[in-house]
Amino acid sequence: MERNEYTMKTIMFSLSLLILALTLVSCTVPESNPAGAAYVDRSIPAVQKTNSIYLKEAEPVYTDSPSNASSYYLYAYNGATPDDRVQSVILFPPVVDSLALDSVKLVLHQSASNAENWAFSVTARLWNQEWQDAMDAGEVFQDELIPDHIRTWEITEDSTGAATYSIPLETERVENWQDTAGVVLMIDPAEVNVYVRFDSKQNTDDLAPRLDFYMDGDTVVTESVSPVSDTYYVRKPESLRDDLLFLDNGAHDRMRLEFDLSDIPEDVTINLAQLVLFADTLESIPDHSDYYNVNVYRLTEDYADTLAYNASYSTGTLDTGEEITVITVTTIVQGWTSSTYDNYGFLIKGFNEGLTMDRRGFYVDLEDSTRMPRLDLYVTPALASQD
Amino acid sequence: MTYRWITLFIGLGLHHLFAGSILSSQGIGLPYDNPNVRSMGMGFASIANPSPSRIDAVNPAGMTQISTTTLTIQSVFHTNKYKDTEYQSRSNYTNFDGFHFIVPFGKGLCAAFGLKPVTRIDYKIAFADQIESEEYTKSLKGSGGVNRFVINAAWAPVDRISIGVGVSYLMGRLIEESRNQFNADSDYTSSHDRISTHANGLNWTLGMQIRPYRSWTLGAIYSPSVHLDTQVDFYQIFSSSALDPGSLQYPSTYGIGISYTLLNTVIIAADFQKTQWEQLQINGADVLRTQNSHRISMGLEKIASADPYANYLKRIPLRVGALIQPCYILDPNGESLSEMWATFGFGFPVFHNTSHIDMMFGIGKRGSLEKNGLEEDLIRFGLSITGGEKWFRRKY
Repeated sequence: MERNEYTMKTIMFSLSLLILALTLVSCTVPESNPAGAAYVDRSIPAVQKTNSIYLKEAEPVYTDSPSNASSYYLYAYNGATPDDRVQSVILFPPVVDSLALDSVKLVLHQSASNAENWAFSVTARLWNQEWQDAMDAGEVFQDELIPDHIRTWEITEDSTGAATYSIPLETERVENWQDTAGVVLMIDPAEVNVYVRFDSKQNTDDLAPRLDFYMDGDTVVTESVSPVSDTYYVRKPESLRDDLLFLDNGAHDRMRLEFDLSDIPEDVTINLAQLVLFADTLESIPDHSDYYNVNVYRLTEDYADTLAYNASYSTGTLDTGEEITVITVTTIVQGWTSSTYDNYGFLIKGFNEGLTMDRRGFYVDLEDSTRMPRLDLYVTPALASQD
Repeated sequence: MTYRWITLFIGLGLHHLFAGSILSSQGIGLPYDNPNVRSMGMGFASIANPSPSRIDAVNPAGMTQISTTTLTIQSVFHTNKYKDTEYQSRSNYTNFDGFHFIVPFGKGLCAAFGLKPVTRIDYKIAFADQIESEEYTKSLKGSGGVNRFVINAAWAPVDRISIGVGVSYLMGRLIEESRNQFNADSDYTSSHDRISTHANGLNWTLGMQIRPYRSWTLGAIYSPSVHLDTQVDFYQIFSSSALDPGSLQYPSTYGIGISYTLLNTVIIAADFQKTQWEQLQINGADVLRTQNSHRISMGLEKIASADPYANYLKRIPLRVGALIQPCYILDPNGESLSEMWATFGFGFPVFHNTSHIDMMFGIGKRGSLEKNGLEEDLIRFGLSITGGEKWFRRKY
C-alpha cells in the first residue's frame, strides 16, 4: 500500500514536469518559410502598385479672417505690383499724459531680408483707425490712409546677418497717443521684390519690438514699453496663372484637391498612398529656393457647403531647391476606398500658415500630366475565401 | 477524485499552442479525431477494442464495458519535421485533446458526454518579397478546426451484444490569415486580412459490438455525411464585414474492427475505417485534390494484472501497434501521400486501479520527397488521465 502511494506520487510529479517541459518546448515561435508552399492552392496576396490616380478637381480655398498674430515674425514686403504687399502693425499702450519725453526710439530686431545686393527703405507710419477699419473690411490697403511718416530708414545689412535698429520717433506724435496706438511698417513704394523680417512680440524680450523712452535728460532708457499686439497683413494680386494654385501662409490661402478613387476595390488594403505635388519655381515668394512645407488634411464635408476638415494631417516638405513633394496619405485614402469616409478631397495648406508670409504655387493643370498632382497607390488585394 | 487530479486535469486542458502541417491548408484541415491514448498506443485500433477502465468514444457501443463513473482527459504533443525539395522546417504543438465523462446506470445501460477535436488547421508559410526595393514578408497562416460535443448512450440488451449511439454537435472556427509585414520604420503600412468561418451542425454515430465467443469481439461504426452551416466574417486592419452564409458538407465514415484475447494475456485488435472525403464540399463546391481515405490499423496489448496488490510492474499494460492510411489530401500532381505510424504505449494504474495514467509514443511518416515533393517526419506523444469511482452505490 505505502509502496503504491509512493509510486503514484512519483508518477504524478514526473508527469507534471513532463507537461511543463512539453509546454515550454511548444512555446517556440513556429518557423516560417516556404516549405511545402506548392501544397497551398491559395494565391497569397502580394503588394502591388496600381496605375497612378490623377487629379479630378482642384480649387482654391480661402479663409475669411486670417490671423497672423501668433507669428514669431513681422514682415514688410513689396512685390512687383502695388497690390502685392505685406505690412506689419505694432500696437502699443497709451502714453501717460504726465510724461515729459526727451526722446522715443522704436527698437526692432531684424532677423532676415533680401537686402544683400541693394539697399531699400522701411517706413514706420502712425497707425490710425481708418487703417484698422480698412483691414477689418477686407479692403485693399491704401498708402494714403496712413500718410504720417514717423521715420524712414534704410535696410542695408546682408540678408544673412541679424541687426537691431533703434529708430528715433517724433516725440510729440508719441506724446499725443491717448489710446492704443502704434506704427505700421512698410517698404517704400518705389522698391519692388524686397522684403524684410523682424522678430515679433512672440519672441524673447531682447528680440521683441519695444519703445524706449528717454525722460528728464536721461542718456539711458528711462522706461521700455512692450507692444500690446503685433501682426502682419497680406494683400496679394489675383493670380493670372490658370495652371497654378497658391498656398499662402500669410493670407491663409489653401487648396482643395480631389481624386477619383472609384476604380479601387473596397476590400483592398492600402499599404502606401503617396500624394505627389509639383511646385512652381518662379512665382513663389519670398524666395522659391527656400524650403516650404505643406500639411494635407481630409475634408469631412462638401466644401461647397462649408469648410470642415479632420485635424490629423500629413506633412510634405519641399527642401531648398526642390520642386516635387511626396506626402504619405495612406490612412486618408484607406478610409476613402473602404467607404469609411466620403471622399470630399484633400485640404492642403502651408505648414507655417499664420507664422510666415511665404507663398508657394503648385501645378494643377489638368492638361499637363507631367506636373499634375497624382496619387501613387501600393495595395494588397483582399484574401479570397476558399470556395 | 482529489484536488490533485483536478489540478492535473486543468493543467492538461490549458496548454494549446500553434503548429501543424502544411497539408491542413486544404479543405477543413487534417483529421484529428483521435481515439483514447490506450487505442493510440495500439496503432489506433479502437472499433472492437473496448476496455472496462478507459473511455473510447470512437465506438460508443464499447462504453457498456465500463462499470464505474469515469472521467478521462487527454493531451497530445506533436512535432512535425517537414521538408520539400528546397526548404525544411519544424513545428511543435501541445494540444488539449478532449475529455469524456461517462455514467453507467447498471443493467448494461450508460450515458456519456464529451468534447473532442475532429479536424485541425495549423500551418504557416512565409516568403520574402519586395515592392519598389522595399522588403517585406508575405505570409499565409491557417488555424482552428472543427470540434465535436457528443452525447452518447450505450446499451447491452444481452450479454454479448452492445449498441451505442452518439449525437454530436459539430462546431468550429476555421481561420485563414494573410499578412504583408513591413519593417516598423517603413513608410508602408502592413496589411492583415483574416477570414474566419464559423461552422456548426448535428451529426450522429451508430456503433455496435458483438462477442460471438468470449475471446472475440467484432465491432462496426457508421457516421453519415452531414451538412454544416457556416458564417464567414472578413476582417481587415481597417474594417470588418460579414460575408454571405455558406455551407460545409462533412463526409461520412464507416469502419469495422475485430479483436481477440489470447490466453487472457494479450489482446490483438485490428480496424478498417473509411472516410468518404470526396464528399467534402465547401459552399456546394467540391474541394479539389481530395480522395477517400481508408485506415488500416493493428495493435496488441499485454494485459496487466487486475490485482491492486500485485507487483506494480505487473499492473502496467504494454501496447504496440501500427497504422497505415493515405492522406485524404492529394499532392499538387494528384498523387496520393501515404501515412504510416508505429506506436507503443503503457499505462500506470493509480488509486488501487480505480484510475489510470496512459501514455503513448508514435513515430510516423507522411508523404515522400521523391514522389510527392513533400515529406513529413512525425512524432506524437499522448497522455491521458482517467479517474473513476462508483456512483449510485448502496451504502448499507
